[in-house]
Amino acid sequence: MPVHKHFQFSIFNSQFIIALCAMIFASCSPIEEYDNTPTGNFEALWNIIDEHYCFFDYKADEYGLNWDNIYRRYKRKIDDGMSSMGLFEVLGDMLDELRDGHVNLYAAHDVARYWDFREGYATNFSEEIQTHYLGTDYKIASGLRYTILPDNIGYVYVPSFSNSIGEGNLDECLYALALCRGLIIDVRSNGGGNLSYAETLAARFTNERVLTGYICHKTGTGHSDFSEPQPVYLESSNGIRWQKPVCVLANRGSYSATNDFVKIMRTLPLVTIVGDRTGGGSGLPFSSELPNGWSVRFSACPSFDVDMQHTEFGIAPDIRVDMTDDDRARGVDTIIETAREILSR
Amino acid sequence: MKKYILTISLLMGLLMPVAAQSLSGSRFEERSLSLGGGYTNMVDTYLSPLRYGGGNVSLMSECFSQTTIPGGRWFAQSLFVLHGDYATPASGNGLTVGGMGDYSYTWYYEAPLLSPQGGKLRLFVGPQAQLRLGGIYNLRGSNNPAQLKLGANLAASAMAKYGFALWDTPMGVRLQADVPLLGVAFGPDYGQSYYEIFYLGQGEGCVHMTSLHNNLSLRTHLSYDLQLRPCTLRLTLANDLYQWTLAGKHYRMFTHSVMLGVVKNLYRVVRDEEASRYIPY
Repeated sequence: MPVHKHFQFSIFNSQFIIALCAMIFASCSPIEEYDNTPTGNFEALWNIIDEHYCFFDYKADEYGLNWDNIYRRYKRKIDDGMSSMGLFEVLGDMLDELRDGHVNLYAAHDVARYWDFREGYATNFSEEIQTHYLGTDYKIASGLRYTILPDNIGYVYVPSFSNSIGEGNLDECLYALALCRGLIIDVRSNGGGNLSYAETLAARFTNERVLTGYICHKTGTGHSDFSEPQPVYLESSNGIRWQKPVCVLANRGSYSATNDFVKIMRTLPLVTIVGDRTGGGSGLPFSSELPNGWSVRFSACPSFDVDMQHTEFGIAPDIRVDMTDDDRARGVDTIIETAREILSR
Repeated sequence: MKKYILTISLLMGLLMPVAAQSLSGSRFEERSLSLGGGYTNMVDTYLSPLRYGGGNVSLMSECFSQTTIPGGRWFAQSLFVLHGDYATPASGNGLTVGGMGDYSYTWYYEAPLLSPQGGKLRLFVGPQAQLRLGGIYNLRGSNNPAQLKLGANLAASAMAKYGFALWDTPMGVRLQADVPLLGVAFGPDYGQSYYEIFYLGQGEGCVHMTSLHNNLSLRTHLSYDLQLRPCTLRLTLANDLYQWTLAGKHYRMFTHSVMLGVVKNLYRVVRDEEASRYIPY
């Protein structure tokens, strides 16, 4: 009876010993350690971003981002004798090259940030003017502030998705607004928060499970190492569901989870997005840290819309409207008025 | 992968009931409970590239007993170690806390050539089933704040016991070493968020096979027993070097603990079954 050679595997066989050694050394692969010096902190930060940031390829196409070039440019600015403040400024400038509001460097004295996604544009929102609509006797259901406008249109302002929005809050809010002929959901200058709260709110506006986009994650250190994008669905809520027209108001300050909320809402049939382009921020942020104790946040998992397009640089509205100076002077919110007009048709 | 998980589960499942069955008769049994603390050093590159150092508190419960398999050379050990850890990086900013429960069941064979019956030095070797469940939480994380540590292994274990007496007081030294050989472990992909795994239900591929190529770990317990009446005091130096490399992420945890405990030696006698069924009235 023939004996296959690969079954003659003995623990005294040299091949076995070599294979065992290879396995043991593979499992002992070193974890890179950095010195707590300006150079060490620079190297740590550059490598953290290099190995984990998720928009290199997309941003190379959009505006020519080249992270290796950035290393060479900023490495020249690093000197081990430089001050902590000086290092913070250089590292903050380096991160600015990513043009990403989800990228921050946190130190005890400051937070390096990129807010050009909103600071370079019209604000299209005024809290003072908003009080002309909300009044002072509006209701608050956890993260929702709501009232009924004189033309029987419900107005819900969501200042942040960091405040919890529970099913009970939504039931009460929608029940109170049930007789309104339309609904305005204002997410202007809402900088985001918890994705699940945004989805909980959106689930009140669909009667069926709908595809809202895709998400993937990095599978390795390479700039193009990504998993297969997985579909993300929105399940309809079992609570009160809104069945009439809805306008979602957005501006450049609608960022991160709010950008995701707008991305979801625009897939729904009775919804019109009104206002300005959203600020974007479609990467799920992760955190890491540097040897000197500074913390860094960066986009790690990209999400896409239903057409597999990035929304990192924002989502265009269905009806593009800016607040005009004349309206501002009269205490009128042009964007709210446009939404009221749409819902009154 | 499914076949692999099934095979590991089957082998682990076989170890425990066979040993449990062999414990049903009269037998020698050594039970101990120890409490202690020590030093923890950990790196988890999913959370941070930095090495964290700190302390731990540990609780260890052990039952080492002779089985009823003829010949008296088969023993079973049930070991449960629970430890809580806290650690900070060198900068002092940031804190990681963790907790881990380790359960192992070992079926030991007392090597007859190296440890003759009645000798002072006794050597044991055997297969071990390990279960590890715990997690670590980094207070600075955003969407990657924690790591769930869940794994099951088939391991090899060896133990040496040496008994002696000083100043008419019986004492003993024991060294146990465990090395996991094959197993499965839970871990997110390289840059995968727990939002994807648990909220969106996209957890496929989070169970990894482990062996020496990605899980080179070693647990050693060096114990010194001092026999006093009515029990034995046990001092243990416990070292646990645990490292995984899963999906390009590295996790290393070293804990060094000093534990003090008590040992109770028992001889369990099983009553005659017929006699126990007799009801006098």
